Amino acid sequence: MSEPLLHVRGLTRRFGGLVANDNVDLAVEAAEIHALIGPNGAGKTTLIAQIAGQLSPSDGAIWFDGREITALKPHARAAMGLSRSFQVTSIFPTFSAFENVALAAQARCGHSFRFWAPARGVEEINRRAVSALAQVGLDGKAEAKAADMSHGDHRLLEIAMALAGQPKLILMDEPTAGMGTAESQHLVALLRRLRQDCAILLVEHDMDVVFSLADRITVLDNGRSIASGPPQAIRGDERVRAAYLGSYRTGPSVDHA
Amino acid sequence: MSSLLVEQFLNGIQLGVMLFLMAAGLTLIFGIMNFLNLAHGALYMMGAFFAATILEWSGSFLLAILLGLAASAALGIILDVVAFRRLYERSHFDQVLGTFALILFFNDLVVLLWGPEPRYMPVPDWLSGSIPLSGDGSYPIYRLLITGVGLGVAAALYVLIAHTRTGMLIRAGATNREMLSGLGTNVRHLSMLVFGLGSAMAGLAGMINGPLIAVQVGMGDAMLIVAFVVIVIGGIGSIAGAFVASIIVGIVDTLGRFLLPQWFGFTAGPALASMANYALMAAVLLARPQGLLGARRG
Amino acid sequence: MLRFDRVSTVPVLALVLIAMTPVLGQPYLTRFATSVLIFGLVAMSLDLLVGYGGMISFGHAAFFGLGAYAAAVLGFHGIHSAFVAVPVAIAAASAAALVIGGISLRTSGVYFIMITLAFAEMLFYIAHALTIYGGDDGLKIVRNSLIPLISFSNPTTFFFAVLLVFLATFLLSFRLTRSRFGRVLQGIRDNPQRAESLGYDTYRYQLVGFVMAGALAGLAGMLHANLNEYVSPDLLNWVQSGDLLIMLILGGVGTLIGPVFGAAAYLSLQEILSMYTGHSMLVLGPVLLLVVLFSSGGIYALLMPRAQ
Repeated sequence: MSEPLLHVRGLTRRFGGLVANDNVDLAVEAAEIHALIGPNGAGKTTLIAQIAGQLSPSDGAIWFDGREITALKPHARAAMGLSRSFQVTSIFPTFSAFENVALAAQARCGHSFRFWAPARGVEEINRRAVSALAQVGLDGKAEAKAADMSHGDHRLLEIAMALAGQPKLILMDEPTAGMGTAESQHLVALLRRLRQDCAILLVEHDMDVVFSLADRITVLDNGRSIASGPPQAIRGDERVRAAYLGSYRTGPSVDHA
Repeated sequence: MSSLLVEQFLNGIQLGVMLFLMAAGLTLIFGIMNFLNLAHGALYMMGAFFAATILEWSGSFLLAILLGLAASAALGIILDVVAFRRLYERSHFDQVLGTFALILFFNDLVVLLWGPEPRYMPVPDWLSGSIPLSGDGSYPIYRLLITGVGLGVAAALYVLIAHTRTGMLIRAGATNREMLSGLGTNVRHLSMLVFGLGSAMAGLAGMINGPLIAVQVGMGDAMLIVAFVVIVIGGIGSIAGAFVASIIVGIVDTLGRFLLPQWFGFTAGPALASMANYALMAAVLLARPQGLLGARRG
Repeated sequence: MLRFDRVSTVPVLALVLIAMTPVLGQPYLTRFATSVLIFGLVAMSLDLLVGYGGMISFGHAAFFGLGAYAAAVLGFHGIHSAFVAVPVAIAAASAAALVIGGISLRTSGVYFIMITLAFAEMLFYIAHALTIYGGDDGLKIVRNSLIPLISFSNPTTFFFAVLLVFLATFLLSFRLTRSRFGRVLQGIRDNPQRAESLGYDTYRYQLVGFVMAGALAGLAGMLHANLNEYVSPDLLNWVQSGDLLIMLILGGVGTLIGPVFGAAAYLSLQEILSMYTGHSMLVLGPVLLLVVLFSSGGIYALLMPRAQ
């Protein structure tokens, strides 16, 4: 088996006496959608923060694309192709939608210590930005000021920004949070299309979304990884049932936030 | 030589305590209301001028202090209600500019009301002795007294914050302002209280320093900036940090002005002495950006 | 982000008017207009820092004063050529900005404001203590000369030289804000955490921006020293820094050209008020507070046509 794209080994994070992540192992393959689920307080956010580089681990290592990134700062990881979208919308409010995505694309088009030529004139950046906007369906709203856009459009913009850098892996923290049913389904279709281009590590509470999208699922409980495998295996796993899924069955049931 | 050193060391502690009176008010207000008040130095100055004037009218030092304290607190509260309240929700840029405009206003106001000449506050007779130090030095009782007063205020502040209900609200507000109104606290009243308290402390620093330095326009500005250095070193929002940092800065500053010219001559010495505080601040920032006792805020 | 897709007529007209001042033949007015341009230049550099970079520095006067002192100290030692004074002033201000920015940018928010203030005061005290260069009394200088025949002592010549520098700097700054670097800087202003997660080393970009703004301020300082033929430590102190911020908010933050109008307004107000009272701040102080509380966009917004 070849090295996975993202490999988290024995990752531990303590906050004083509290162990938020306890010896967690996780592997994400290229071109895979991998879901991370678990009850509130299981340590999902802490794990994502460590993979992104905002939090440094107490123990363990993280490998990405063949290199150890445990000590790398967030911007260096992004430069390697590790992108992320945020749970709470995090965009550039005074920029237009296009400019938001262009800034994201620009980060992967060489350094930006260029002081004279207009940024809008760089073809490569424009191409990537337009393409990313089209992929999420926002191409009609390119010139809209980001701050004026709806919440649903913000979520799409987040994803467009994550895509614009042509990443190898996107960390997505609850992308469907606050979305209605139609919007969620639109998003699921979008993510399914993306699978060819990049891997996705997805934190989600919406089980419908998880089971319709994920190639593999990892379950966290109390800071530990208690199960990892294809959706069927997870659904049938007794420990997972006890800890989290309870009496979840396939079919429309769970209400959306 | 050594009694001179002891004397300077004691002066350093005295300066530190005065700095604490300034810094505590600043950091309290910032911690609770997220409001950066550049005009705090003006309150130091006004306290000194109030006291100097009352002393001239009444001849009683004690009366000057007491009425001066009341006037400082009142001025602080008036400023809060009239001007500062509208700035709480604004950006730090707006707060800085707005309070800056107030400093300029107060500096001109003082010249209008009291004239440009400095005023002098004589130390009252009953406080003007000295006590002998080891060797043949002596140290003024007045300086010891005001150091004691400052330490007393620090202790009282500690008791207030750590052991009373109001103090608990202050601490709660420092970590989470929105929670305060959720708890049913009248945030406006709390802010008025904290402002009054901070202003009184700044005014106190000004008026008890009065007999040592001339009471004049702009006296608060230099103090304010050093108070900022103290807060940065100690950590914004931390009273304990402000105390530790004040004492350290007070000693470093005083001893620096005394020793550096001796070591480096009178050209380079004073210049280096001016840099001492800032070098210290830079060093602390490089090692610990949130200050010695500050909480790491987002 | 401001769009200059159409050339905005009113600000341009206003600038042309300023440019025509020497025609009036009043040396006092020419001198005043030169001063407006110089302060407009340093306020423009501050706008790059604050309006476009989101870095609220309360110590920008330090770089302005350093540039001025560089020219003065060179003159003190017998060097009067502008070809030396300009690069030295810029280099000195940039070096200081590199050190001060290098330390200050490790913090943000209120810490940053206080630290930039503190460092500027430190430079002020040093200038104060260096009695060899005048200390408290300041230092007089003879105006620089460009080449042996063209000296800046002619007020009209000097005015046009300053105007040229101002326009060149405006052009450079304008291109800068629309460049890739400018986009990153504004992104960091809007959302530093997001910019970092996109792959930008935010510290480095902000530091470069800080140094560039400092360099421009140093250039303006050198011109100021030439205009007044005098420097003093007050050029470095925080009141001067605060004045620059006031010019910025009066003129319009994030507009580049607004600050020169803010400078014109502030300097004019000070001149007029000082004719009537020795306490101009009694009036200006509350007025400024009101401007802070109620203005949006400053003079620039007033001059621009409604449709944007």
